[in-house]
Amino acid sequence: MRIPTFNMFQQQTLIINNQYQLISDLYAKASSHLKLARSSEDPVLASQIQSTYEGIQDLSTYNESGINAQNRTSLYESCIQSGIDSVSRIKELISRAQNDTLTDQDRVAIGNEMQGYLSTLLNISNTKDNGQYIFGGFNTTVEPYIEQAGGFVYQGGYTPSTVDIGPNANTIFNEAGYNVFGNIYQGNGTFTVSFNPAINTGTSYTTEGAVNSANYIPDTYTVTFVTNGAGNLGYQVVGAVSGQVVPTPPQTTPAQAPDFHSGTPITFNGVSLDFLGAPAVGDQFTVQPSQTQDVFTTLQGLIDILQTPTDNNPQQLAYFHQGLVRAGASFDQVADAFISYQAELGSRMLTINNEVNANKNLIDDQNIVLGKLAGANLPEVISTLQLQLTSLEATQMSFMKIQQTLLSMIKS
Amino acid sequence: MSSGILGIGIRSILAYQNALNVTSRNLANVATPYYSRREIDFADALFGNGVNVADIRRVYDETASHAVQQANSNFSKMDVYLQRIQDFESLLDDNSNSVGRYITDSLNALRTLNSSNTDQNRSVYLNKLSSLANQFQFISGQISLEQQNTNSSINDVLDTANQIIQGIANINQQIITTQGSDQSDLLDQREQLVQELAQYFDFTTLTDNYGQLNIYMGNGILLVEGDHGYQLQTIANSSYPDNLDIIVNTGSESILVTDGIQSGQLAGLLEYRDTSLAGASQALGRLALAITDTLNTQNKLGMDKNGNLGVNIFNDINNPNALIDRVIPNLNNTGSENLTVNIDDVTALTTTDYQLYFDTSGSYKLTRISDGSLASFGSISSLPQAITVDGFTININAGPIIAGDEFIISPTNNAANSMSVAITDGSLLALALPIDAVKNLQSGSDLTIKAVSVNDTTNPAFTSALKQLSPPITIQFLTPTSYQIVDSSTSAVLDGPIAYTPPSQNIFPTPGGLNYGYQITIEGQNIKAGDTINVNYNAIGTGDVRNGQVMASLYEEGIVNDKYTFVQGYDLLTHDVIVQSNSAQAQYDATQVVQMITQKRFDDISAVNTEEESINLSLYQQAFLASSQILEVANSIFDVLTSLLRK
Repeated sequence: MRIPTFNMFQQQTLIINNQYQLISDLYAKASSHLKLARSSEDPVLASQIQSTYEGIQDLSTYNESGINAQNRTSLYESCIQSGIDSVSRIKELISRAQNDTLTDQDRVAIGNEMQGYLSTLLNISNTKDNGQYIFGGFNTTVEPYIEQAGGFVYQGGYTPSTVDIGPNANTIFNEAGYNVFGNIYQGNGTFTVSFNPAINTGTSYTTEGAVNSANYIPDTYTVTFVTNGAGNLGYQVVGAVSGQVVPTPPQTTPAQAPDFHSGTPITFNGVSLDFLGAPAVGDQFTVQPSQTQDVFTTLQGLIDILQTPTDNNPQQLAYFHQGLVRAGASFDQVADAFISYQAELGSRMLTINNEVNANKNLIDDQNIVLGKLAGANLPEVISTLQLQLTSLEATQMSFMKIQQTLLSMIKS
Repeated sequence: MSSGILGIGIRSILAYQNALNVTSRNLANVATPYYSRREIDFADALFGNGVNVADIRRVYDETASHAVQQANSNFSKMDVYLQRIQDFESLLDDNSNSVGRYITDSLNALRTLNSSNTDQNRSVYLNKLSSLANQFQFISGQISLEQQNTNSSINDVLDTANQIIQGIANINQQIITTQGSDQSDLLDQREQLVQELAQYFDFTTLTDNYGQLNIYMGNGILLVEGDHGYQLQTIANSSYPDNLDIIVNTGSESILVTDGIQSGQLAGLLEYRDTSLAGASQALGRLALAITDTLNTQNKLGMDKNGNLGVNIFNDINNPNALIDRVIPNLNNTGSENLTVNIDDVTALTTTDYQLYFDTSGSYKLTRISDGSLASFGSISSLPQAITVDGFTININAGPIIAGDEFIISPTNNAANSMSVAITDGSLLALALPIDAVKNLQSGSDLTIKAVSVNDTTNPAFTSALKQLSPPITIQFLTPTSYQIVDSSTSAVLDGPIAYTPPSQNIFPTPGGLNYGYQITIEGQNIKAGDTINVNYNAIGTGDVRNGQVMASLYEEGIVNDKYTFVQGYDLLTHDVIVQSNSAQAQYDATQVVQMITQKRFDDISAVNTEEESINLSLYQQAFLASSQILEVANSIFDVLTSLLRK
């Protein structure tokens, strides 16, 4: 078979070129540490690498949101802690105010101290972060709570805004202050007790009362002290809707009104009340289902009660105590609400931290996967490179030998 | 020539002298491409007259030559195509600079904005969207540039080809005029020209009775006819005037040959232009439309920082210019029909272009160019008429319609090129929802508002008056399992009582047909009579980012072709190019091997082997010396004879 000379040289050139190409590719892999210099070398692998990479990029878009959510929740936590501190100080003051050895001036002074805490709480509700009111719900540009015409008005939004911190996770980001500071039931949470000082002549006032939720029938009840058929101090209870409750019909009142025994609570329809002091005949007490009220109005009400002089008049004192009891009970509701909000924040922080960590772990895992898919196996690359270099040397030497043979033939 | 030993000696010396000439010519041309070696045939001279050179043959095999032509064509095609497709691949598949990266960057900015709704973050998001639009324009611009470069390269190739064609024609003429003499050199030159031409496009050759080589393109279109060489030229393609078509200009007529070119550099360039570049351009356009329309639509369902309903973030996809850009009239049209194309549903868009053909003035056919399938056909009764298919509508606004007129309908045309952000003020980003639903519950109720969404801000509830709902409504529960809808401003009952079935329920549309362009889903097992939900315009919703969150979730939804997310949509078009590149590499390697094999076969037959010729040289040298001995002997015999005669 003939071997055309020119063709032989051409072939040598081609073979050496191809070997150089291989070597240059290997050098590129060794320095870039990537398995693929271009995706078209292996489209299927390139596709896998691409989707892994994109998954990482996508998860990373949540990083900033996660940090912002953590910071914001931290801010809420410090706000509510401040709030709880204020409320517990207020409760101490309420305890002190119950003491009958205090004078009117003492009570006014207590009221003034509470005024300070009212300002603190109001400031907490109007906290700003980055120029936005954090208790305003959707409405971040207007003060959530302002004092207006002797009362407090909530100007914020009622819906909390949320933030996405992961592919399927979102948490509250901007609270509606109404849900934290407003909307708190008064009294013991179910009903409040009050009386009209113009009517009552006795020196009685009640405790905040207990409720048996299974038996409680919501209604506005009036407890009136009467002289019953036996000539004793008795009481009747009439509900605005329920009608006569005590004595149970068909018993009549005041004839069959049950006796009132000091120290024994009066119970009816799930309500249980302790009457302290000495009720007089004709005294009336109103037991109403609780309304909701914001912290500030409640606190202002408390301050007003403290700063109303009693002049040491026993009836005035009874009225004062009834108010203090009611306000104290309301403040227990506030304390409970704040503590339960604090717990909610704690669990929210936990959720956020878990999500942030889960995302981070997932990103780290995926980066490892990406490294395995896309990274060049360096030892393999380097040994192949050495093999190729050796092979190139051998090829070059063999070609040189062939050429020498040709030359010597031509010379002879 | 005289007979006898003298004659034999002279004859053989001449013969071997000739042989030495031929051999040394062969040796000299060892490196000349396509030089076919000459072989000497000796024959016994008749009547015992010694040796004759019977024939100096040019060793050449037509079949081997054709095989090399074909292999050269195929390899050149892949060579040109591979280089361009690999460069194109690098342009698209660059992770640090790809459209996919810009899409993710904008999502990142949006998520950050949703978690921190500041003016600065609004600006950042708008900037990212701007950068994204710019990148679309950049890539689109590069594709256009590539198309122009390819068209320009086609012209360059044709210029070179035309010179070669003339060269071949000239040689053909010389073949005629030098009939009878040794034409081997001319044949070698022509072989070289033909092989070079084969690099540029594929053709068939036929040698006629006079030895002239005729060249045919495609389906038998004459390019070289004897001593006539016709010109290859480019003209504007009648369907796509920006693209070049290739014609053979015979002087009296122009014949279109583009479709007949299957191989060679021209085929590589055409494939790159018409398959790779066009395909990428269409897919890029569709992606631009998807992103633009999706974000625009969602922004308009929301409320911006100033309390107004949102506007378009990007230029509207159906702006007046775009409607016209999507219609490309054929250059041969004689009518002046007025057509526009409106995009209705980006999720239904395909990437193909369409051919709209009026076969009579009253009927049309709409075909998909990708697979030739019929998308729509029918009759045209009166104008204006609309044809809706595959997510867009062709509006035939005015005529008259001339039978035979055709149009290219390209919904994706210019979409990437004209993608741009229309707003500069970050406060126009409608991150909030325009409504707020607030509940007011009785003690012990567990009623919650599970979801609030807006689906139509063109509803009169939003448009009748600015920054308010017309009417604002209250959902009032009458009993734990029934509610009514009341106009909050007038207290008039709009619909009800409506039954509520736990655990949850959509409020709209109500049984009475109320629909205000939004949806509210409520949830609760223990709802109390007296529970209410007030629905109002979200007038001071400056911290609301619910619509921003919906926008972010759209980045994760299957929108492109109803299946793929934005980033996946970009991956699709890059992947197509990657696969084309991968396949091109394989074909390049394969055609290179075939070229080597066919070239070797040709060279086996025709090329010079220096060893062989060197041996021949020695052989003929010996023979020459031997023949000169004959002459010497003849001479000495002659000397003897003459000396004898003298005596």
